[in-house]
Amino acid sequence: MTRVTRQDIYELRDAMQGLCFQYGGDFTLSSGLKSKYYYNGKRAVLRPGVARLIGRVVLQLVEEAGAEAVGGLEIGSIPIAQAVGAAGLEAGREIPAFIVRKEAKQHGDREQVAEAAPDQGEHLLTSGRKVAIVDDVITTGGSIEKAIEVVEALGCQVVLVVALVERHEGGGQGIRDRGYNFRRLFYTNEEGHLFIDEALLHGAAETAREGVLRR
Amino acid sequence: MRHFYTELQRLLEREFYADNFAEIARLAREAAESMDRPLPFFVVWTVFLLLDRDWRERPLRMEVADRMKRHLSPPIERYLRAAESGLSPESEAEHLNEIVERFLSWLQIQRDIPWE
Repeated sequence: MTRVTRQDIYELRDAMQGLCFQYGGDFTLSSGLKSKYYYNGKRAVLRPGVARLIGRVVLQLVEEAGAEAVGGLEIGSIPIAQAVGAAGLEAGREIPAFIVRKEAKQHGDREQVAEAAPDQGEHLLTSGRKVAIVDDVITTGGSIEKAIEVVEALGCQVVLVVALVERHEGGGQGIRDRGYNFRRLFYTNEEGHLFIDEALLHGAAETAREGVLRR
Repeated sequence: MRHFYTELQRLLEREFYADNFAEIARLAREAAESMDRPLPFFVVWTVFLLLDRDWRERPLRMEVADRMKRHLSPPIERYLRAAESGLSPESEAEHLNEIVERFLSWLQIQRDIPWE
């Protein structure tokens, strides 16, 4: 697989800044916090070109962390986990996905997850499985904490937590404080401007190449 | 013994936002499952489950949240206050009808709010 370049990351930042942010008003967020801007990651993540690039960027983090599966709380994590899976296939690896439901179904013994079936016919989310939790945004960290709680209850080891965007409220610090390997691609200020996480640039190839986004 | 009426009143006093809808729905469900007469709490559960579904993935402007609260809270609060001291089946049915009618009229209002 072609290594992610700095140009890719700049291009991804520009796409997300252009597609995902809504300004001009006072918004009440899901958590009850107030904000001058509204971020909707799905407006970018559901575009195939953007998803392809996100998949490649997150795949690098997943491989570095040694995660065997990728998933998170519905619905923000779903296209990201699929994008990572597609990028994995390009690289010759199969990285299965899982979904943590917000509410448990009222049947079955694994009522709060939907998971890929591993080749060996066992459950994907089993004791000792190294997993990555992904989400399109972190605000207070509540969604990510819920996903962690569910997969850990099934015995999995969370080796990586990735948010595409860490909003200015700084929910990622709470995840780090609990000892998790938290990574973000971008972060915002209070005005809703999007910045690239420096650590991501350090890990990217210097070589520029033709951008992969087709907007 | 849990004081579901008081707990629900406390949550309704908060602002309206998705996590609060979910919390109210969870509490109302718990109340419905533990009561001899589950209908009132089943109604409250359903109302807030649907509000959570409708607004969790949608930009919610503060003025819309305030309008929603002003529209939906009063009949529920009236019911909760009255129910604490006991209600006849007829009176309870009137309260529940008012809650449902108000919710249905909110859905009409909600349809006219542009999806941003």
